Amino acid sequence: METEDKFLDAAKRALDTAEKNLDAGTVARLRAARRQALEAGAQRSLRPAWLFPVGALAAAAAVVTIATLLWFSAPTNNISLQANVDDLGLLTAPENPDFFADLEFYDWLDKNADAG
Amino acid sequence: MPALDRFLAGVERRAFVIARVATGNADDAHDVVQDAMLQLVRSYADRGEQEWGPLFHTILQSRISDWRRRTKVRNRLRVWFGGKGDEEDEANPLQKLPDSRSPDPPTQLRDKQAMTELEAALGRLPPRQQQAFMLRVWEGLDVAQTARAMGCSEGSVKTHYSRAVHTLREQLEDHL
Repeated sequence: METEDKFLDAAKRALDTAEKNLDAGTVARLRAARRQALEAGAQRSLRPAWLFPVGALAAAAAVVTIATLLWFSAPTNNISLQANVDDLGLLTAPENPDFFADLEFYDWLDKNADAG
Repeated sequence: MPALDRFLAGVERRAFVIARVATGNADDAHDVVQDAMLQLVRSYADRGEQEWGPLFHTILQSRISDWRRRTKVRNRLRVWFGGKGDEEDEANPLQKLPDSRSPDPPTQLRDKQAMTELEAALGRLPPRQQQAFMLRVWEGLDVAQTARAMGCSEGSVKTHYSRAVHTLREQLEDHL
């Protein structure tokens, strides 16, 4: 085991020496690679992760706007509804329907009978 | 990101040596190290500083494995189409520049020879044995940490490591 440890120490020393003795060109190239990696990381971090893509936001806003406009522009037909209710009253009354058709005449007659 | 800059400055040279042992050439080693740095910065910059070391080991080993797979496919295609496989890279002229920190010439020569022989022997090891040796002996990772970095079981790490040490001792004991 002792000889194995000596061998491993020698191997480690050889690798340490190789690391220390890297030539200037290699060291410069490694420095440049490090700078490029950090610059790429800095550019990526300028865009926050929570920011949705602009296109998706715009599309969502358009859908909401259109849905809102459609909801509030739906026509209300109160007059026809009231007319329907009136007709229902007429149709269910016990009197002859013709009576209601002549109702204006009888109203006039009543007023003029008092005058005459 | 000053903390991340400091971390990468502290590991880049060692990572390069590991990658050069694995790939056998400086250019591919540079590509591997740059990819590993990029992935650490892009994906894990927001993690705690104490996580960067283990993460970087794992990423570096993964990039080396990717390089091996691509090289295997590329060489197969080249041979298939009548080529010769990977050509040796031309020597980088900057590599001839002296390093001001180098020791005296005889020591430098002895160190260089030892490293050349060790790198050659490491390069001949099967990839997993090479990985286990570098991570355990040079990076000082324990068995569990090495298993995480290599993506294998602790039993596998022990086996790969033991075989690597045995082979290297046989080849190099008298040279180191």
